[in-house]
Amino acid sequence: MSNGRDKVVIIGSGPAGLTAAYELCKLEIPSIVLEKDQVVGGLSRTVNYKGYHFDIGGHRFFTKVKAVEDMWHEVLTNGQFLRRGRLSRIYYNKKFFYYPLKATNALMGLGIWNSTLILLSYLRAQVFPEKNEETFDQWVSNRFGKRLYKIFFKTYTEKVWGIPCNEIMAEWAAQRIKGLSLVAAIKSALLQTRPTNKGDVIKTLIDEFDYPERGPGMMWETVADIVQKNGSELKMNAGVEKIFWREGSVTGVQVGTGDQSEKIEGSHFISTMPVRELIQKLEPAAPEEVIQAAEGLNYRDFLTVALVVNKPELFPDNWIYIHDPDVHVGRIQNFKNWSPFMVPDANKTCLGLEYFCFEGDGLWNMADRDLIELGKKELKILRLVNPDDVEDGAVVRMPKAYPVYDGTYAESLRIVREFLAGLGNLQLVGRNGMHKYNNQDHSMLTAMLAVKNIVGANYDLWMVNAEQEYHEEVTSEEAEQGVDLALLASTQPRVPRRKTVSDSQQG
Amino acid sequence: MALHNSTSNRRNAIAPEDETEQLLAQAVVRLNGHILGLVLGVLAGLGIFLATNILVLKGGDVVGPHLSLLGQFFIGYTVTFVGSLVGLAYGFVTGYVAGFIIATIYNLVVSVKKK
Amino acid sequence: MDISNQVRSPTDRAIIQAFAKLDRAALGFALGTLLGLTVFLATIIILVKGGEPLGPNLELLSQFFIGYSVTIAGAFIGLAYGFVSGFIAGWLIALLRNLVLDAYLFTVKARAGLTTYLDSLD
Repeated sequence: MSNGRDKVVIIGSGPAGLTAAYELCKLEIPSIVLEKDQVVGGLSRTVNYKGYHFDIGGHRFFTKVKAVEDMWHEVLTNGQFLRRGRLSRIYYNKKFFYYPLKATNALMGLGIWNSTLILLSYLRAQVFPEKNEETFDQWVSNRFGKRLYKIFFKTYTEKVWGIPCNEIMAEWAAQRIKGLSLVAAIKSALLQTRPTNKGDVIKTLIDEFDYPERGPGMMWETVADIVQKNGSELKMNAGVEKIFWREGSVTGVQVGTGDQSEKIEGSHFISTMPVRELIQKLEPAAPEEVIQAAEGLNYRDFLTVALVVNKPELFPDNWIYIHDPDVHVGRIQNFKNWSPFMVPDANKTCLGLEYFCFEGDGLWNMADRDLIELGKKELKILRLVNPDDVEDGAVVRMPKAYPVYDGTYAESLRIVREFLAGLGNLQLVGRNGMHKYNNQDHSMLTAMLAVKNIVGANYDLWMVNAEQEYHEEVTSEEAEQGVDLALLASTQPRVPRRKTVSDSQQG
Repeated sequence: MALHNSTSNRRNAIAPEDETEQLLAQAVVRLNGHILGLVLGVLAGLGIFLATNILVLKGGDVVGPHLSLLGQFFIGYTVTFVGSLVGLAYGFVTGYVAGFIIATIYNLVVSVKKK
Repeated sequence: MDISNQVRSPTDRAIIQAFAKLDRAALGFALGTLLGLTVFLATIIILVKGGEPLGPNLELLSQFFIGYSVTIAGAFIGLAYGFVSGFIAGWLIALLRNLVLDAYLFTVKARAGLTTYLDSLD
């Protein structure tokens, strides 16, 4: 790519989009950020409802990438970051289970009879394993027994992905669950018995994290201010309606702001918008095959029901995994435990009930007040909160929270990428921009690398292989830049692949 | 400069810790004859010592008529305090020998099976 | 198994040695041999010592070892019974120990597996 100093057009003001603008400001390259919503931050926004702040999902500020860590601390001072201890227990059968599981606590919670049955189920799986290990349920049952699979893996997985476990491919389970070796697990379990200063707080893979006083939105609002003061323009309520292109490059975008539309040109384009939408907005239209492929990219959506509870304290966890099959809610965030500044009144608490769903499904289409009532009802079923203590509530729907790796996604994405590679001045970054389920830090890193590409580097952002499990040597240049991409990749979430007819035929 | 090609630099797909896990699954304990001998010797010696002295303290017209049968094998042993010390020594030696023999035979069988 | 060449870390070696399995047949054979020989030798010693009645207490073994008597032939019967009983005991001890270790390792694996799994969904 040429060492251009013309304007860079950035679509989306989430972590990736704003990081790109931030890096461009440092290089004194003008840019414009186009955000279709009224707030910045994308999936990392913090919503303010009558002074109660809540996030969309949990956002721990943890990274193994120095460049990202540095940026966080350039933007916010140390005083604006809180160091939080992590406590995120599992709720099942009306009981809390420490996470990671603690033997005596798990035994007491499950009961001796159930624990014995779990053990017997495990022994049975060792003696009579399922010979066919194609699907998630088979893989997990073979290793932990059917009973434990049903208690701690099945319900939660199906809540998150909306796919039955016998339709998720086994390889997904193998990649992540096998990640921690038995010997490492033994060492960790043996070390666990040492008393800690934190009492019963459990050491997890990440037991402490940083968190901005008023949520991740505080970070991104600050970045938005900084970039605007340093040569970047930020347009809100500016949805991209069309993306103009010709052979080899994107020439501009048409943006709708209220009743008007305007055309914005640029020399380089960085997109964080969902890939499916990007293809649909191309003008002239992309080839039919590419449009069809883009329509094969699917998403899992998300909604949060925020409830204001008239109690100063409810439970000590930052969040709880709800493995109970009796309720729809998947996780419950206690935002006051992320930061006391998230609530304006210290006598109250703000909870976020998280529901995984599909845009347009029953949950998504429920009226806000019905969702609030559902939330209250489920809190009562879980015996966590008395519904009478709930004073107020709000609902935020977040479409396209997670890209789904179903049976056709890989081929669809390949076709789309092949086509877009022909547009030399367009780079895709971020979670939805790349249709890749990455955390905030990876999204930021892709943006940083995209900016480096604009000034002459040649990073292939797609080469960072999220399937790598092991640390590999980085090139000396990457090492100098403090970029350990493989290390980063091992911290990113995993998305399950759905079983297809051809998988069954091959088996 | 492109990012390193992950396939060309890829290490062996099995990381060392997985090899260790395989070893863990296959590993068979070897018994240490001296340690097992010591353990069984101490157990047996103390067992006889305590059993003898409990009966001595219990007293009665005939003290330990059944335990005294040990004297058939442990020459010099009696159900008295002095006898308990004799029994301690005999018990320790017998237990040690038993432990050593168990470990030796066990290790021999394991070696033969491995071949 | 000699693992010293294959495992570099002393901690890993220690873990493997601590969690290695007991060979059931080997322990059975060892205990069986010891017990069989003990009964055999005990019988012979009593026979050599002589006296009237001959080994009235050792004779009580016949309540469990049917056919046993304090005689030369009985010594061999006792050897056989002793071996079988000892073998079963050793086999069961090893089985039980391995099962208990397996149960512990299962809890370790389940804990680790669930931890990495839920973390990967966040």
